[in-house]
Amino acid sequence: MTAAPAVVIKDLSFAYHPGRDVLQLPTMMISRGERVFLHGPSGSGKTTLLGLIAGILRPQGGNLAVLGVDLGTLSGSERDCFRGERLGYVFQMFNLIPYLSVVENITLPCLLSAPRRARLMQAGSVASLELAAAAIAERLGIGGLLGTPVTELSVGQQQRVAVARALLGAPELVIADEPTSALDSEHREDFLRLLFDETARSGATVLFVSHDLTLAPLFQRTLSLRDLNQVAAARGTHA
Amino acid sequence: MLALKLALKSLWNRRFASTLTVASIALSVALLLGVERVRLGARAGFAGTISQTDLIVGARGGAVPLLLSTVFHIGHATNAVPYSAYAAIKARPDVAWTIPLSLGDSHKGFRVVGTTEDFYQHYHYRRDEQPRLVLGHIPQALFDVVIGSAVAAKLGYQVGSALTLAHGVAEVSFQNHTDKPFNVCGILAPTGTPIDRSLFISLEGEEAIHADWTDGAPPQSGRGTAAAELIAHPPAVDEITAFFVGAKSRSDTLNLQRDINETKAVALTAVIPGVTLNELWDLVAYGENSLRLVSACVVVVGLLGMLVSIYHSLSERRREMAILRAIGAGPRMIVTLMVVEAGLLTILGAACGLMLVYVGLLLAQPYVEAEFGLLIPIQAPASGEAGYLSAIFGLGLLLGAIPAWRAYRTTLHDGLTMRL
Repeated sequence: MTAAPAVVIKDLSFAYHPGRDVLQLPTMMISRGERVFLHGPSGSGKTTLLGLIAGILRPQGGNLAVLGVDLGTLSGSERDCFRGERLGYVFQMFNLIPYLSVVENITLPCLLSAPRRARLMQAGSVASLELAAAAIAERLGIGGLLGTPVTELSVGQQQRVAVARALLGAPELVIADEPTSALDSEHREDFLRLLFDETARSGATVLFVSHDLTLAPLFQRTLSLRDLNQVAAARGTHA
Repeated sequence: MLALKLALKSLWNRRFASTLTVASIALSVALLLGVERVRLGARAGFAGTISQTDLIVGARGGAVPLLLSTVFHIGHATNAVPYSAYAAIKARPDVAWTIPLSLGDSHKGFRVVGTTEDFYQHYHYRRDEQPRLVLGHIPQALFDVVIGSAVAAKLGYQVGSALTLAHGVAEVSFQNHTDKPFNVCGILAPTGTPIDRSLFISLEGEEAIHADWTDGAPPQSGRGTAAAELIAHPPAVDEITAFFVGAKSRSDTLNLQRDINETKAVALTAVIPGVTLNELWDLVAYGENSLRLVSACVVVVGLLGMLVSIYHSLSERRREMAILRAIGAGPRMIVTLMVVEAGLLTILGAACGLMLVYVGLLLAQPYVEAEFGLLIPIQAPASGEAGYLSAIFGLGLLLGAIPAWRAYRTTLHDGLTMRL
């Protein structure tokens, strides 16, 4: 495993329509293993930045290196493979495919990405994908729900399944986009503790995005996208 | 494989809509295949109505009307063949056998055929089947009549029943040969041909009921010859409507046909049944094709229903697409998923449709045979049907590509944004 930083951004810019940049980031860096809180209120370019880091969007100007890979040089399907193999992603809510069971949801990324599956199996301690999923589900306190239809889960349970899915196969960077906003404050801290425990086990970097600053003290470092993104900052001063 | 598994689970998750889609495809496919089965069954049935007969000879006229009136009892011949001309051809050395036919009367909508024992000896259908009596004997007395199985079943006649014939072939006739009642002497076994719907009398019987008729009009009341007198002195047969010819050898047929058609003394037409049947197919091809066109349109509508159903599901599945994207599925995977779903629905629909055809055949076959004299065989799918099914499958995939394309566009546009 290389020691390249998790995310390195230099002069990154992006526009959905030519000439109307929504993102201009002069510089941003996240080290390996870091747990970073990215404060991103709406309109700050949060969705765009996450799309770029996850490899959904293609950088238009500047440099974006994720886990040592220059995403600007990859094709669309190469970025899809990269994401499938090396990233984990947790949405705000409705993370799960409704027609799959809990265990099927958890194992899906490893079925989609052969390298991810290979890495999991090479880790050695597991006999099968399902057993690995069962182990991580157990640690997250959802071990008894593996066969349950996901539509019968509570929101908190759904988010834990999403974490299990994002973490199975030891991705090096986990992006969590407001994963706690649908939880009440008590469950929020539980959820974060589980997330941190699991990422600490694999040494994964955590990029946690939220507009709710009350959670910021739990992280090692807080970044404010409004300050970093010069488009949003400019709009802010004009407003 | 993963796409197939996901597509199956996704379809199962929407099983109500999926079932409806499969049902509509199945019904349309069943209609298309059913029409095809009936068409082929009708062709085979038609072609099997007359076998081993080399020529049909009648008064000069069209080949198709001659075939239709003599074999299928559809329409009627207008002119007669002099008995002497018939006798001359019958006597030729290259003629093996003949079956004379005298048509033009009916009984309650069923055609009456005047013929001789030659009919029972030489007439063949479905290659080597022959009309067979289940009860009684062939006509011996002047006013004896043998009835087809459908006539017996419909009208409830038994051997010994008396009936009167009507002049003309309309369902309701105003001229009945009431003065000359016939006696049922035999009942034929079902054949699945127009024979079942016919009554057979002797040529003399046919002549007798028209005794004293002049210019197609009956004699005045009380002036006709009495039935008893006719039995004592059967009238001579001086004309028939048409006759079937069996040649000594196949190679004689063409010579014989040419000779008959070129005879100057009597204006006759001789046709080869198979050749004329082909002319008939050309004639009915328009009808067949329009029927097929309509059922093909129904299939397209069924598949469009699937398109609508999948397309409609897309908007509620944008979230699912975003999740799949987030865990590493490329747009190509999304497209594959959609096309596989369409393919599965089409295959399921086509399979159910095929099954429906067989179930339908099993249930309807006896009824159709009894009611229309049409035997539709229950057999394995023919190569033509395999062609239809693969065309339907291809079309299904093609239509599935439309929502797939939209899902692809949506996926690229939405990215990871979770739109509700």
